[in-house]
Amino acid sequence: MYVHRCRFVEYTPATINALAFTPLSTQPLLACGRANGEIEIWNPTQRWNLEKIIPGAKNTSVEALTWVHQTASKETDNYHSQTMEKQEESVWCMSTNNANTLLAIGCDDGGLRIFDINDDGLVLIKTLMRNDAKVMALAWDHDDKFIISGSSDSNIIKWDVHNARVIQRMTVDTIKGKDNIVWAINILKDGTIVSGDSLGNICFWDSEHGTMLQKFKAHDADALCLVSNKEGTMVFSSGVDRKCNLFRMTDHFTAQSSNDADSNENNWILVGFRRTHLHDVKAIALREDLNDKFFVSGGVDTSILVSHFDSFPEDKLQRLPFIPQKPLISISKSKKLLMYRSINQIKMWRLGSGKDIMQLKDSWQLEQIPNLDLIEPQKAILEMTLKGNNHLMASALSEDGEWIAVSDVETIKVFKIQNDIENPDRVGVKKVQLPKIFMNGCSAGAHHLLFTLNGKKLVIVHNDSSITIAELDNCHYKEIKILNQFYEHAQPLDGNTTVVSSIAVSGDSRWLAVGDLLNRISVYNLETLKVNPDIIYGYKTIDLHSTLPEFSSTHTTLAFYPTKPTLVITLSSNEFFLYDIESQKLDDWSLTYSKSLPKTFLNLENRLVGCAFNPANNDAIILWGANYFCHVDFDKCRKDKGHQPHLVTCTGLREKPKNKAIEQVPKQNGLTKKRKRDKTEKIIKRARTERMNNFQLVYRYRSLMYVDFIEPNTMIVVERPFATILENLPPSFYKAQYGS
Amino acid sequence: MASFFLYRYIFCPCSNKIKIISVTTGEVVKSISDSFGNCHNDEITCMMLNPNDPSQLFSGSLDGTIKVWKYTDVELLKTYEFGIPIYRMAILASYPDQFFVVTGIPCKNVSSRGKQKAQALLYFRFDTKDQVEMHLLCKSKFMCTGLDTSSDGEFLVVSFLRTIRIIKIKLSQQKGQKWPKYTHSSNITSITIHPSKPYISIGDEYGKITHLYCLKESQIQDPIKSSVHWHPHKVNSLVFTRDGTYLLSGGEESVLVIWQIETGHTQFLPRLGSEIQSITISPDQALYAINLLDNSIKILSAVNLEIKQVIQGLKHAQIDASVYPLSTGLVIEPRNHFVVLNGLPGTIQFYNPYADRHVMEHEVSRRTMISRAFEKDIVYPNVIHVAFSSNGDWMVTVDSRQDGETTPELYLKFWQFDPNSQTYVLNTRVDNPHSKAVVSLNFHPGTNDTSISFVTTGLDNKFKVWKINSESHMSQVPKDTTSWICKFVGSYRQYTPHAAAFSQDGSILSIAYGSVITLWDSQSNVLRDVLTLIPNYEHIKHLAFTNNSPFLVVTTQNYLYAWNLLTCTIWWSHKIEVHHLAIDPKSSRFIVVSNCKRLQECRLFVFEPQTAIPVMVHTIKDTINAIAYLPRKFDDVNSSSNARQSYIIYLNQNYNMLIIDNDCSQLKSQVNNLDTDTVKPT
Repeated sequence: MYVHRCRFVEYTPATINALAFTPLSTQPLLACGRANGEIEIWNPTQRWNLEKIIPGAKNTSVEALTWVHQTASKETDNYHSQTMEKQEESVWCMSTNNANTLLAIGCDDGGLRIFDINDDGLVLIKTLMRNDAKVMALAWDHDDKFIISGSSDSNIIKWDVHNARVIQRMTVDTIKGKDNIVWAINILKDGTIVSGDSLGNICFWDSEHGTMLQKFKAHDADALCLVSNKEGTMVFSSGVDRKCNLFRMTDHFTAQSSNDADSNENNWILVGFRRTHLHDVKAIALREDLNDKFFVSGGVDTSILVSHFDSFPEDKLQRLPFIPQKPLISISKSKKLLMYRSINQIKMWRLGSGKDIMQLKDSWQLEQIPNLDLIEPQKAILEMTLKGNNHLMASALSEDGEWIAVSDVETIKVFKIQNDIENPDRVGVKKVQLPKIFMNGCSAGAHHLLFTLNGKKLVIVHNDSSITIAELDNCHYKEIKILNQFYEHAQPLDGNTTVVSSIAVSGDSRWLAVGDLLNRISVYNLETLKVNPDIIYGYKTIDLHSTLPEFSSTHTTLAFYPTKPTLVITLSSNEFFLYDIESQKLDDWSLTYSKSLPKTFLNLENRLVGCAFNPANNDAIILWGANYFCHVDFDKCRKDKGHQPHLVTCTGLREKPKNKAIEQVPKQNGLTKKRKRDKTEKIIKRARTERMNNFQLVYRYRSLMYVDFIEPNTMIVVERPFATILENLPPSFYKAQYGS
Repeated sequence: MASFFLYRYIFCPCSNKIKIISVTTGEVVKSISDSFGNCHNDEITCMMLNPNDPSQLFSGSLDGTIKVWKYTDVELLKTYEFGIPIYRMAILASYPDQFFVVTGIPCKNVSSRGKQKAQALLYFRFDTKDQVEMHLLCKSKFMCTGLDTSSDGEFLVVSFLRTIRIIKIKLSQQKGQKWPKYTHSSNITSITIHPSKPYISIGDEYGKITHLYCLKESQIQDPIKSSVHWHPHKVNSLVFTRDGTYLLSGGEESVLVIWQIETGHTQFLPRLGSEIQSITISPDQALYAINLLDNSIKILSAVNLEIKQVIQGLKHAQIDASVYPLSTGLVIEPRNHFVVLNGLPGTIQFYNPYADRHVMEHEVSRRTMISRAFEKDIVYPNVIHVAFSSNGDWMVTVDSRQDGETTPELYLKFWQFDPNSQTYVLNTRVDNPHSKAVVSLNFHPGTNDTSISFVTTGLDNKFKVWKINSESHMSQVPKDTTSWICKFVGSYRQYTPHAAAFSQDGSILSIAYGSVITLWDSQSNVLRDVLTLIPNYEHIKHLAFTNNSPFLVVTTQNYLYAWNLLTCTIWWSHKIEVHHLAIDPKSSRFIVVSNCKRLQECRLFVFEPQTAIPVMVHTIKDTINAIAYLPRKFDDVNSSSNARQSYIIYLNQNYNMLIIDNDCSQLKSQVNNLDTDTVKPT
């Protein structure tokens, strides 16, 4: 087994600038805005599945995010996340009122602008101006009568919205001669104003009189964000010092009724802090559901941390992967090419080769991977920066390495690779015309692009989930013909519109599988398509071969076996199924084992995001997530009938991996504990001796961007270690601690 | 256990006595002691003033009684009998004759008291006829680590290993239990209630101080926790000032931390010298008393944190005796007859037994005063032997350090008395005087001031004679600089020495090898005679010449022998297990100590060397760790009729120093230990 361990793909995720949960009445979704203008939509109910990425445009950065509820016309809950970038002034903060009718933004020129959002568009209805101190934070009063804003000249201003005038001004502490920036403002249910400023102070204010109730020097540097729970009894703050603090109100039930004179004051306490981020924490968000109480935080270190805040700060953390769920990489197996798409660039490498040692045995001994010396390093053969203001959304490389397709929101471009005779280390490209496809009158981009393996067809999934099949002409490279266009996934199901989340093409280029976020997975026959210029704009449907049964949780990826018409579907619950296309039912193995996968495998922190097949071993599969991959041997499962599948962790370094096999002993009531343990030990022992490890987990490679096989027993692993991303960040806030 | 203040006096428990010490002078003003024969039979574990009558003092002890004293004239007012050892107690002003007592299973083995497990909080009520009403409030499998009452007398909080129980006192009398059991994430080391706000503060073994807001009924189920963390190691004491604005905390780092609760601002008083055991605030909030692990109380002014007074007892009791044993024994310093013994590791201490005062601490090897590096304990050097020349001009020490990692260190140090500073100044240091551990160090008594010599024996089978280097040939060395060199190295058949002694006139040096006693002419270093013991399988433990008579006292595991050196025969012998042996420097008598572990007592036998019949036999309900004859005070010499005899001074198992006046064969003991809290830090 050879492994191409590639670390040359310099993918750098952008800083998280804003996090926002949907309002409580609706399905929970988390929006995450990044400094490169991207907005990610995460679904916490599907084990934090990354559902969508709304791409940004050139020179944009999401600075504020808010969910807007439009209840006027539609019965279903429909949310649009609105980003505000570069209006006439830069926007520092944004907030909707509690009735969800108005949106207030705080601008660089010191003005507050209020928009009406009742209709689809934004209508400027009011401008509140004071002086030219930047408005850094704002919050609406509970009756929507007042706006409290924090400005860069150390003031907290209370505005009367109706009369557009300043009612109150509160001043935070300053160091002489230096303005203190009020970075964050929050209003609690009882009207208390909370502010966070650049001295690291968290202050609680009486909103009626504008007096300070309590002050905490909670941060060692700027406090950037504040969130509170619905009841107004908990306040979280975060800042440049990497801390997340929790404040709680003590004795909130008897605060009013008690006759004790000082019971109303000083009843906020700093519960504790957590310093889990490695850099500035620039965004935090909170969601209290009936079942879940999520606290999420994100910042310059680019990954989102999720926790249940009940036991803060000793809560268990989950770090969401910073690598996109849909690979940015496509490869050409036969030509050993690797293509990487960044926000506006396409880069292509020819893979290097290692020293050829004696052919290793064809056994799966992952713990004995030797390190081979490079005899030929990889070569960057193409670097192409695309014009246009929009960031790239999709890209594809054909298997024969001849074609490249890329797309942004507006246009799809197809390139033909031309080898440069003079310089064999570089290749050139030639743009090939693609017929314009229009949607609702504007030119349409694509979410997904995929070449069939024989390189004859290109599958395009548009923004509105309509799918276009185009045929490539390898002889002329002139014009690409549209074969078919169909709209099945664009049609709403039960009134819910959705997007296609994954597509796959079978090894013989015969089948196309398409899955969307509503978990509809359909398989189409591509061979029956004929060139028919008449149907370009028609609504003729494609030959739908079959529709898969609906799975319990959202699928994360689809993949075809390279040799047989079997589709592998992985779910966000980490289950996976094998579906036989021809017989239109689940594979035998899947019927037996898919419901009884090892518990540790199902409980792995990160979801499965892809699968790879070793051409040398048809009865095995490699499933991978952001920081692990797992080799599943179907054959061993079958041989060992009567036993549940077992998971073994391979350290990848030692001869004997640590015995971490977790066994599921068949329950026998009569057994005492000791005998049970004996039995478990026996099974573990047997598992070791008979190599019954049909699930082998490898943690050796971290932050996987791509895993596949390019040849039998030759694997390509593209990884991006978190440490290399941290290396490129500016130095973070540091304070010496005892013992360091 | 804490001492506490009253006006300008501090009450301080010492074993089964209570001393009242003046803060301004540091002198003992009064001692509630055995003079009336009605004091506690066992260690005092807790004491407090009667909240209703400040002239009365309650003291609770492991002997199962709480006694009420009128301390102004040392009068016992009342004794409450509980019958179970009392570890902690709480008394409330509004509930007279009622006690909240932490107790445990009576523990027979004295040494395992510190590991006492399974404790319980009980409520006792004594009515006028001394009829007892008792309730069990809560119990635990673990030791109680803290007990506190709220200032309004409403709540009682008690902590066991990791659990906290809150008892509302009104409810407890109806046997109602309303508060749930709270658990803490790590082992609790101290607990206290805020004087005005509804929370308790918990200090734990990792140095975290947690405020738990659980005393209001609305917060019972979901108490809010807030924590601050400065201490890297365990927090031994937490005290609020009376107005509740400041919290004082202290622990292993020897740093007093003063927290301003509202702002989280901290003030530090570092380098207190030893681990802080407890903190007490005087009633007028002007003074803080800090009880340190080295058996001292430091009294600070609350205004500027200046040290006002230091009350120092004998050090060593709180040190882990298995790692740093009391290896020097009790050595009487010839100049002032101070008792010299091991102090903190690496030091020796000088103690004035007549005045019951700590005189000075002498650092034999320098060390950095830090508690530990991360979690690992630091291995300190230990002083193994101390010897003085007859006029006290020279002191010789042997110290060693062996941590198992670096090269073992062994030093022989010669110190000269400096009359100006009244201390000893290092003159010569010999690195590795023997290649193995040093067994004994003796002063050669017959030598005069110009040619003093000391003898060391070592496990490397050698004995070495050390003298002042008088034949300094180097001209550039000034005449008045003296140094010590090894003058003679001797050995006997490659046998390993076990003990050594000089005769009183210094003419004979006797070294015991196994069961063989060799006698050497100490002037010419020639072997004179060899005495062999029968049965010879027992090794000699102690060896001593008696004064004024030509007898040599030898002890082995099971026998005591008296050799007549004129006849070179055993004059008499006893089958007795001897643990310690001491020679009276003023008379020919000697004393042997036989500890009986089973009965937890020990017997002292005083012999005249000529006869096998002891002059005096005395039994003490203690285990003796070290014993010595202490010469009588100088002014006593003339007045006393029996001036020739000395006191006997000994250290018991709790490292209390006691004196026996064998003059009238009566025990006139004196406790020299301030605080007998011998619970070892675990």
